[in-house]
Amino acid sequence: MIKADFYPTRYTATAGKYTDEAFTIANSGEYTPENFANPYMMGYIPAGEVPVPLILSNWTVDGDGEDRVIHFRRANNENMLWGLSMAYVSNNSSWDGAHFYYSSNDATWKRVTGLTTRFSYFINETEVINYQNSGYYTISYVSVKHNQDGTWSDNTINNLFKISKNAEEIRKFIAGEENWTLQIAGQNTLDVNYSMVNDYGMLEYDGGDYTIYFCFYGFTQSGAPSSCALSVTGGRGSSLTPFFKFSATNTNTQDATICFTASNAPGEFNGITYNTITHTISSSLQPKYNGMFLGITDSDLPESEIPYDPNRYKSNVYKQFFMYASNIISAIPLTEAYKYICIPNKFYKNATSMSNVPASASYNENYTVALFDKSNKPLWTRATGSFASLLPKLQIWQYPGTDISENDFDPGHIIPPSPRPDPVPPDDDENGGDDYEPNDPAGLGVGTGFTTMYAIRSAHLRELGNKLWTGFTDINDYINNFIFAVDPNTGSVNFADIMQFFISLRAYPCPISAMTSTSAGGQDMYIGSGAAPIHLNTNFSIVDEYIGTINAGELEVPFWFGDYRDYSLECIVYLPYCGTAELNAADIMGGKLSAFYTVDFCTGACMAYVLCDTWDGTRIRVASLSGQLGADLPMTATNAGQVAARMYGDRINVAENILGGVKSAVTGIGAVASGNFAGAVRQGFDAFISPALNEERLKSQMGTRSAIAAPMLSAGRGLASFTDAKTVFLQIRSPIYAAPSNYNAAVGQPATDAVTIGDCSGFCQFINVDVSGITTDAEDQRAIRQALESGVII
Amino acid sequence: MQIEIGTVDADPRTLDKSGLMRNVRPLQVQIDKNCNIKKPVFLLDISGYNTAANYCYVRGWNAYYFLSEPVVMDGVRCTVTGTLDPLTTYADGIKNLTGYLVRTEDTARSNKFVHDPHMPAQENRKCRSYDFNRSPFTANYANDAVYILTVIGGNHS
Repeated sequence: MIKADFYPTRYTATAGKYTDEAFTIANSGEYTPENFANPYMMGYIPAGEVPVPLILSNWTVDGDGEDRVIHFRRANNENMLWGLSMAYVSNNSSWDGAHFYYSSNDATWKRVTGLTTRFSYFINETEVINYQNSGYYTISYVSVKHNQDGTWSDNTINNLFKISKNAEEIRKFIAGEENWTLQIAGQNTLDVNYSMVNDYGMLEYDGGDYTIYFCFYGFTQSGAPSSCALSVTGGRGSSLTPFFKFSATNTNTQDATICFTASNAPGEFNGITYNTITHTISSSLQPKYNGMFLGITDSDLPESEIPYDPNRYKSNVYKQFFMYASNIISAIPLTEAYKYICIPNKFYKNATSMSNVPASASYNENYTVALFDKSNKPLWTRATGSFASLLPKLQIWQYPGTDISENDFDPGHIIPPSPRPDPVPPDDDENGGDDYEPNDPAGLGVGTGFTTMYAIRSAHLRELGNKLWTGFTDINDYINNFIFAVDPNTGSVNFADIMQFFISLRAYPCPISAMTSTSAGGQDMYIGSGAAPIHLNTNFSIVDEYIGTINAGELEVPFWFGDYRDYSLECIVYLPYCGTAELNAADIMGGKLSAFYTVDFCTGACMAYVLCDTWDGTRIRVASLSGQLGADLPMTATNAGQVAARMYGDRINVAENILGGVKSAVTGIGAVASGNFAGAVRQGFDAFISPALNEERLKSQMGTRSAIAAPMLSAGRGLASFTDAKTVFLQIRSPIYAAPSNYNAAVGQPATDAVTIGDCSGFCQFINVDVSGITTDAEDQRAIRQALESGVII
Repeated sequence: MQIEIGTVDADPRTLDKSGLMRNVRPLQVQIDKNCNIKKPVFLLDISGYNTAANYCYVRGWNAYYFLSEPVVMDGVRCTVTGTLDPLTTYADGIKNLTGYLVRTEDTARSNKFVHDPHMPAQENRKCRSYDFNRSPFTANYANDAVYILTVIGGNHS
């Protein structure tokens, strides 16, 4: 069995074991083993008898210009051998590079490489292009090899390029003793002085064989990018020689400039920091070689640097990194152990969300675990969530796994080269969709030239009726003055029934001017042809727009219990002239409801909306119903029949739609005629279908939440609806809870807390308690765990 | 061996009952035959036994026991069976354990927004209605212009 201990645990040499220990992180200090007092231990696998943990520590370090440094290091209470540090630079709010420290005596540490100041685009090792097929001229690499006997030998391949210096001079360059000028064999000397600064000399040369490479990573181009093609081949990794082959062709008519770093700032690779190398590609159509690159092999230099970018955490680069780190963790063969590294998410997340490295990490924070399988292939986890939930699993983790296995981890995958930002929830300002608050679309008026709407008072309406129907002495008078009527003002003759010019007459439960804008009163009414209309002296207002809006008030939704029970209450809202809608208590509790109506004056139909400003500051729509606000009034026999038919026909159509589902929502003109009302209309006419079907449908709507269906309140139609409730109201129904007075003491209330048992009081129930620390036999341990799980009184 | 015998009225689920023993007094007992240390049978003089005693502490074993099954043997002696109380016996170690608290009497630690499946609810309901703060449907039908007459043509604006 391989047992894994985990964070936060500190290895105490004298006790010979890892114990949980609360600690804080010092904010500053030089690194010395004595000051290394606040470690975050990562995962470890016991290497034989001696556990070998990888410790994450955190403190600030000055001197190198780093504001924060996070180190991984191997600590087995013996000589520490390797450490990997990452630095967070506050002035650009980014996590910069990474470099390895090493120490042979645990007293002084040497940093193998310098620290990058910028992240550059790092060529993913999988982006290996077969340069032989690219059609471009490419260069090979030039290398020199330092042999065991101290000699240097040329290791150049293909001889397309040759360094103009001999091996000794290359060494001098590496040591920073001189600069180079590179020459392309058989061609012009590059007109750029490769001025390189390196701290390669920090590495103590151990006299072993190694091959020196230069390399670059990332490039930009200006001038005519579209016609200046760059190709890069190569890569890095244990199976690939870490070099890059570069070629460029400029087919444009103007020169193009390339820079060998993405950010035009000093970059670094394996300890060699070099300035931006700019070279102009001439506009000649002939391909040109533009550079050569040398690099340092990982196998030749075990302590090579692996750039670290939190945004690329799951990239193959990190596989490389953690492969190295995994070797640091434990020396035991991979065939016998799993290794894992667990990193607090806040240490590797996008640094723009961090202004300061946190002083400590606790059980309750989120971690990500990188697990290495026996083939040393890293498997990556999702964000694990609360560490408290992970810890018990890892504490009893065994391989072959019980609680944790490879299936708990995502397989390592390749991410696109461009950094992909972490998903973030949208801003509240971006909340769209169902926060619609109805607004009157300006300009949708009655000025179509086909119809006119008049807003009329009852007295004026009677006057109109009198003008039309009274004052005729006999039928001849009617025919002469009405059917073949002569307009008294214009003298025109109408050869038609004047009533054909009247489309509709409707009554509304509120002043028309409260819903939309109207012209000033005292308007005469003109009917019929615009050239010779019938002009009646009236006292009307003209309705300016087809659509009106009504604010129907607000309500702060009250809590009933002040706890979870509020979020399962049955809530329905009654909307006059529309009906009822069931609301989700979880959506509205603690929020503020607002009701609005929009009215279609062409049909009298209305839509009622209920919006909710929720407790967390968002606005959502929670209900919308259609209804009929305008009540049709008959004007003629024909019209009366049409009105009744619409009312009656709607009911028929709705009944059919109840069984088969509503086919379409009510919208706009024609809604009345279509009769396909949705929402409350359907519910309002439940009485017209069989009670059994109604009950079944209601139960299905209510689900299992309530054995008693919420009441469905229907809205009337026509003038009858004018006698109904005129205020929007919210109806809440709640079960009556019958908790006894000693409920808390007997049963307790739900909790979600990782605790130390001794810190609790009263009746408590626990799960995931590791009782193995209780020095007794398994039977007693089991009894203790069962008692804790069933509840104890502290 | 000597034990400390007493009475504990607390709920058996109480973690640490050591401070809740009352009428504690020492009692000299013997162990009857061979017995499981988790369920010892104490042999004692009946005159020293208080039938109300239900709990004891065995210092030599540093263990606490529930007492039960008093059996009078010969009118002079009796046996009482002890059952190990693992909670109190290992209370100090248990208090140092960590775990995940899922239910608690302490409302300061409870999460009032987590559903409690144990809360009993009756079938009958209470119902309350709350009006919105305004009603726009308050027309004066005698004086307000509440009718819309739509005509063909007309003096549209």
